[in-house]
Amino acid sequence: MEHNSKYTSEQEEGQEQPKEDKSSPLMEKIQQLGQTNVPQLSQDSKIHCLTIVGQIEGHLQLPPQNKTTKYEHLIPQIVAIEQNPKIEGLLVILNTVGGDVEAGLAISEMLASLSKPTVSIVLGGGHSIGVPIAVSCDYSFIAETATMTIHPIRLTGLVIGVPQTFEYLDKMQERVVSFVTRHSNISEEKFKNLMFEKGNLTRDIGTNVIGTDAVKYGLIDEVGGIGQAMRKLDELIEINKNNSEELIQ
Amino acid sequence: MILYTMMPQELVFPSDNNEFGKQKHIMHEGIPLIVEETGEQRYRVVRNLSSEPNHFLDQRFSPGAMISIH
Repeated sequence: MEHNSKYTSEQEEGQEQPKEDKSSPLMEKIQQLGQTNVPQLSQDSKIHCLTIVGQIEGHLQLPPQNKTTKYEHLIPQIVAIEQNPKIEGLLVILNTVGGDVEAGLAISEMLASLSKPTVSIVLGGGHSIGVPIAVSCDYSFIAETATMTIHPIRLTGLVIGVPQTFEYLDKMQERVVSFVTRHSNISEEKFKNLMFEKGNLTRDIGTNVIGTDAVKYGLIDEVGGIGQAMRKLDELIEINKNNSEELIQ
Repeated sequence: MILYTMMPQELVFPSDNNEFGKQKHIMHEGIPLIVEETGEQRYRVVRNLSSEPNHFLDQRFSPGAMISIH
């Protein structure tokens, strides 16, 4: 032990003492990122990545302390990805608690109608309206530990007072159910069963589906992470390329 | 005080309007960013909104980096 400490003190004497008050660019970087450097790539990437994190923000702007994904940010990006010929594929990463139904459905429809290959990964959580977004892509992955909460639509803060409001909610519910069943292998019956299941969520109806279960129910295609997702996306891009070449010939 | 309600927190306690003013959405060198004003024409990057993965490798726009806009 003593030998060690002597060695370090000698080493320190030999080196110049860095001034602590003056923050070097390296120190700043460590404070900001918790790391010193990240690899630099020169050319533009042919795969773009959308991260859907926090709450999906709809018509009501949430205070800045909330981490949100805004549809007015995402939708123009999806348009740009669609029209840029250099971009060949899109990776969607989800870790969301859900949020605005209409905004979530808007993002889902945009992703589903994108002509380029899309792959989604659910990491951590893809709850509530995150479910249609996850299934909207051509192929979906879920991390083994990730969860998805399936539950009926609610509007918090509003009291259902008239039958019309209830009917409206019911129709909204139907839109979500039909979107999910159209874009995944889950049957409507199974999805509704999970949605109205009792006893899974404390004092609430719905189901919290974990990684492998989501695949078992047919909601998600495969359990996996970033490696598998990128490989799948490359594969889909290759198929897409071959198809378009055949069309030209 | 304990408040039992279905209402979302932001409806019960509306936040100050100037809270929204602190953060801004800007395009800087072709990269969409959410920034927070720290001084005159000095901004701290809060979030990089780009979908291009390479933009996240550029340390000038990483969260926490300071940028100045003229």
